[in-house]
Amino acid sequence: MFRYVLKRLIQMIPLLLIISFLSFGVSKLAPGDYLAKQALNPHVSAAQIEAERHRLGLDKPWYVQYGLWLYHFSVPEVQPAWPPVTWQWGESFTYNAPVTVVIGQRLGATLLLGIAALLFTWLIALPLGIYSAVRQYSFFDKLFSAIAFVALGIPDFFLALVLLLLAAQTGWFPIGGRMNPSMIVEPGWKQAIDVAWHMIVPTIAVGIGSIAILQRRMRGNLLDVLGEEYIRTARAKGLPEGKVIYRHAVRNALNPIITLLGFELGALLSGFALVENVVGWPGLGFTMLHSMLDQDIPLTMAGLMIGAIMLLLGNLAADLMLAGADPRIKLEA
Amino acid sequence: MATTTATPVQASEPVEVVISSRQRVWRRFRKHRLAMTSLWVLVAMYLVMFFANVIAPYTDTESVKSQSFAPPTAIHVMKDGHLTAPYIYPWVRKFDPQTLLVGYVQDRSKTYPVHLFAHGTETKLLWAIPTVVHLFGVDAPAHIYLFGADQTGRDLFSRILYGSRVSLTVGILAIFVILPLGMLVGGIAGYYGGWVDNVLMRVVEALMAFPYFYLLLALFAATAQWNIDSKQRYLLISLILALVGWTGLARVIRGQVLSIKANEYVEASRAAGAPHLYIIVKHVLPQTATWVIVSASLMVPNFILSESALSALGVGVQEPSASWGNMLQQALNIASLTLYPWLTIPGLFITLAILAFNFLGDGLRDAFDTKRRA
Amino acid sequence: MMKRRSRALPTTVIASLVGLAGCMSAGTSSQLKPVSYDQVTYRIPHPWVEKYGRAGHPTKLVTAAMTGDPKTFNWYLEQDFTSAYPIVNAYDTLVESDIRTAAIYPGLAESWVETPDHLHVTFQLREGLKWSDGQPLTADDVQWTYNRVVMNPKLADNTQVDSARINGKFPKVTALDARHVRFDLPEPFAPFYANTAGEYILPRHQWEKHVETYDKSGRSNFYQAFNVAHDFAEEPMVGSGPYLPVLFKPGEYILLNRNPYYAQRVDQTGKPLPYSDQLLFKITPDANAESLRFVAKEADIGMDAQRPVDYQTLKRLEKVGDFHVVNGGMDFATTFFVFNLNRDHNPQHKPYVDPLHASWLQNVHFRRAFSHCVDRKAVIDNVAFGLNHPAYGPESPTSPFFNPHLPSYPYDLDAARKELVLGGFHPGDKDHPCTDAAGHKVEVDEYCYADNPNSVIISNMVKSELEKLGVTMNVKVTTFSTLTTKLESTLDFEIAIMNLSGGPEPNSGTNIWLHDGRLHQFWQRSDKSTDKQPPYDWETQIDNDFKAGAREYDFNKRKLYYWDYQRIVADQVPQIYIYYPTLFFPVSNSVTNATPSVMQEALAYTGYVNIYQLFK
Repeated sequence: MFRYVLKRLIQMIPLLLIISFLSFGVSKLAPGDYLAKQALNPHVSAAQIEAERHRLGLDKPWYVQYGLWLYHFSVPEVQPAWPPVTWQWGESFTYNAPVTVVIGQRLGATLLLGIAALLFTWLIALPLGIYSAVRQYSFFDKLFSAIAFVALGIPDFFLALVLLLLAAQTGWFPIGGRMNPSMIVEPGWKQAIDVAWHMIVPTIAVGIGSIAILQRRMRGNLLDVLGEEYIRTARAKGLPEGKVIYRHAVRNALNPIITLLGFELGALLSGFALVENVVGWPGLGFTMLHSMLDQDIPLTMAGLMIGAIMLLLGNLAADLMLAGADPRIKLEA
Repeated sequence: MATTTATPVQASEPVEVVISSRQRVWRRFRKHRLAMTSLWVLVAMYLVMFFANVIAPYTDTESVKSQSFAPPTAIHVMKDGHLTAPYIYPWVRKFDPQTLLVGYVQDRSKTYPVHLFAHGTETKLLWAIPTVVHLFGVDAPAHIYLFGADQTGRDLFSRILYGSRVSLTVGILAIFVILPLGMLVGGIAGYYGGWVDNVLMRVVEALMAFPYFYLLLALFAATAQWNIDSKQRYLLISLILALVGWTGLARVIRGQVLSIKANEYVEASRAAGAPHLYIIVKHVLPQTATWVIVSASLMVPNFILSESALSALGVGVQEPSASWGNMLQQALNIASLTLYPWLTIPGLFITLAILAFNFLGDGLRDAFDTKRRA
Repeated sequence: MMKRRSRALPTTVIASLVGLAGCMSAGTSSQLKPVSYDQVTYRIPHPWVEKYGRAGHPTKLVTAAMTGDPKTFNWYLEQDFTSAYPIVNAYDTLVESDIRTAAIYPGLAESWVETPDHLHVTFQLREGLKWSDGQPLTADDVQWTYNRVVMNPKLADNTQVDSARINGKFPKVTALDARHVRFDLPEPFAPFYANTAGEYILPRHQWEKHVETYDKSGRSNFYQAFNVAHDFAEEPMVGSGPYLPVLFKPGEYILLNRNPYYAQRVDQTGKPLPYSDQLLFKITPDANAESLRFVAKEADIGMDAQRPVDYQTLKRLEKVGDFHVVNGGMDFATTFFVFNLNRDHNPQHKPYVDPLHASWLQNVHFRRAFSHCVDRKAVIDNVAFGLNHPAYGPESPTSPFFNPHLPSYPYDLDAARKELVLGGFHPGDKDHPCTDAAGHKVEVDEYCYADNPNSVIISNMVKSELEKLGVTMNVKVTTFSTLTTKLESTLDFEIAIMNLSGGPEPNSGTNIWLHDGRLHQFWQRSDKSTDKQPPYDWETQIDNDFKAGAREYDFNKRKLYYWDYQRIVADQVPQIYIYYPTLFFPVSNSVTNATPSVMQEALAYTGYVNIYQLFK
């Protein structure tokens, strides 16, 4: 197991190189560069733009630019001040600040939302899915199915806007932000509650659709498994129904769901850009979106790299969980 | 499993009639009422899609400057207290100089009866037969807006019909790309395991990590200069989405196959000397049927939803073409939700399509399930 | 086993989430506490007395909504509104612009003397000025800001260097003593004071160490100074303005505290300003959410103007949110179609525009016909709900230099036909194409950008009008950055729709109207062009108008030059203007003295020049 994990981690490095190379190539497909919008700024002269282009290396061929980016991204900088070595992943064109700082300021918020949404979705959807499968065609099964489908059909950013409108008129939820500034002087647990209150709208907007999908999947899988021979055998043997369902059926039905968890972990950072924007949740998604539109290469590439790393790690975690859940699966490197 | 049919034979000798498995599946499907209803709804939607240009009173690009955000036309059936053939009054825009607010009032100076099989703009039925007859309409200069008008005065009802052509077809195309690729790659990877699994899964991961939104943005900017219309551009983009999107299915299938291949019948098949590919296709992959069917039924609605997200970001189907996604995007602001709620009607159609496809998928899953408790 | 594991997992995750959320916002609350109104004791002998508004009383907090993160806190690097809003409250300028008339009045300088030849201006600073840390503000800070920041060749791409230039050359700035600074201009320059009103004076004792040290690549540390990573607790920002930023939470808000040494302004009764102890800028990236903040009573004022579509909803919700919407007037920003009249050749020695199409674009009658095809009223009704005003020229009626006697091009298809005939064309109709004198079908390409949906709508509306004359216009939708690349470097377009901002000082349009200006989009000069051609006669005449206007100090004489250039533009229509936007600002009913206007928007992006006057 340990060797397997080690091997996978080592394999990540060439994979990341390939991904970064492809992504960089794609970004260069679009005409123009970061300085294109500077052109419309009346205060900046053409000579200044050319000088800046040269400084940022944007006038060099794209493979040279890739090399430059790779160098700045992977090689830590040595500097006379403390700390002597910093690993900053380059400097953002837009913010003139180290990429790690720009991302770091916003990463926590997105992670928080991502984990909350994940929990919200999974803790609701899985039990509902199990219930629906066990009591197939019962009133609640049909009810959950109907609700699930309607929820599936509404795009999350749209739902977010509707919720905001509701919030504005009723005052039940705050409009955007993560915490009320006046809370700074309050103790930590009070702050946590305020943050949770701010998280309600985005979490619901993001989670409802996912709950629906996951509930359908769980239900489908479990129905499949419940029809298997060994379930009938277990029942014939006299095992209590609870054990049949939870110890045997659910565990086997979880196989594809676990794989899904892998992607969800990977998409944690990027999946909420639109909702974050609409709701005003101070996360990373929106900043990344704009850095892509503005062609701020260091920031965009760093975001893509983080996403890729999380995806690879998420898939690795999913594979490990698969092996843990089903002893027949042997992971060989 | 065999079933008996009622035949007028002596009760002591029941006759067994074997029905093909296809008929069995169909029968089971028919029992699922919601799925049947959904099937008819979808059939209706696709039929309407084919005849959109004749059912719609206007084209998807006909804009009327003076009818920006006109509300749905009120169809009157009473006149002076008795029932008459339906008629409408046209909308006239009123601008209040005090509050600077805009509103519409009905111009009751002249009535315009609603004609069935009215004359409209020339168009081609089923892309072949030229005709000027549309299902219904009113005489110019009035307009009949069943679902209201959008910002440039285009009829929302007509646009929804035309938009269905994009929204309902893209997902179908994607299915033909994603399903085979995903199942095959996932099946092979899971079955062989070892280095085959490793290499294939790493390729899948590389593709998964690929920033497809970035690719779309870049493509969108790069293809602006080509002389392709926006629908073709969207098709190209969808193809790319599909080529990048099969990876999720592949990984899930692979995970399932890892479990399935340990089953005894697979061992037996191998011992009997069956070629590997045969085992994969005939024994292993069918076990993943549930997931695949549910995925396929979710694919069309997923594409509709991602198209609407892409439109919200500005890189979906472009104006002046219509798609349910880009129409929904125009509804994505406070003004639309509070002042022009009819702009959200495309959302209802999206939801309807999603519901229909999902129930259909449910029904299919239940019908194909050979192990269901009868 | 699976269930057990999964039950422990959520508990630990939730616990760590709570902890994470809590410690995420551990701020040092002591340094965040502002100086209250009664604790402000510092006074100077001759402050500026407020003319407008009402005298007020101390207030705890004023909340403003804004739609974006600042990208930097360094005024000389900022390029957008959202970065400007917090910074402009931290510093001052030598002179200020009146929020109603744009007239110049004293700022840090209480008076100035100008030689009759306009070449030497000596400013006298107010007595007793101090920075927020108690250090005195002297003429040395002024000359250092100009010499070592604005005009420093090592900081050549700072955003205010252009405003300091006088016809391409820099003035000489010297500190005569602690309270006097002298500017020696290379030539007379009427916009000098208006431009000076945009040069914020920085404290030498805080910035010198950033400017004069360099990083490994030889770039001044000025570029990293006060970026978004800046820790205000560790190095508080020192400024002379009424409010200084003390806390920045990216994507959420910026908190500003009162400057204890601000004494340059007093209200009508002689009491010190500002009234409010703190300012809170709440950041909402989405315009919808920003409007909703007012409905939910979460903001007092809005720094950004609302769009006409928001006006329709906001006006109806005024009672719910207890606010009112102020009409700020006609903005200086312009929306226009630009024709590519470029006669140079590209680096491959081919003309930028296909010669056949160029012959149509360069035909002034074609352009005039085009202008007659723009149904401005319908556009305004559909895109702005009737709230904008038709435009026929580059200057807004709000500008003191607006020429009211311009020829207009009302929507009139017959007039358009007549123009086409005058131009040698044979106009057609829906079924018959328009042809030129040689019989070619007239078909042109137009670019708009998806980022601005209105640009797409307007383009399509004009396209349908042109179809009625048989002219085909292909509307191509692209992105803003692709379009600017076309307009700036590849120069391969025929018609494009564009937006530019403006202001009350017409000289700020030199970049657009001088023939070698950087934004001279209808014939963008470029070093990479080959076979360069001489400018059009009328282009040279516009050049002369701008040059003469910059040297003329008498307003009535000066405005005639700008009237002339506007007349030429309206006559030759290289750019066809569509409308002037009307700007609306929501203001909570609990706030007094808020006077948002387009004039404020245009004056160095301040939005609320008199934020120090607001009270609740």
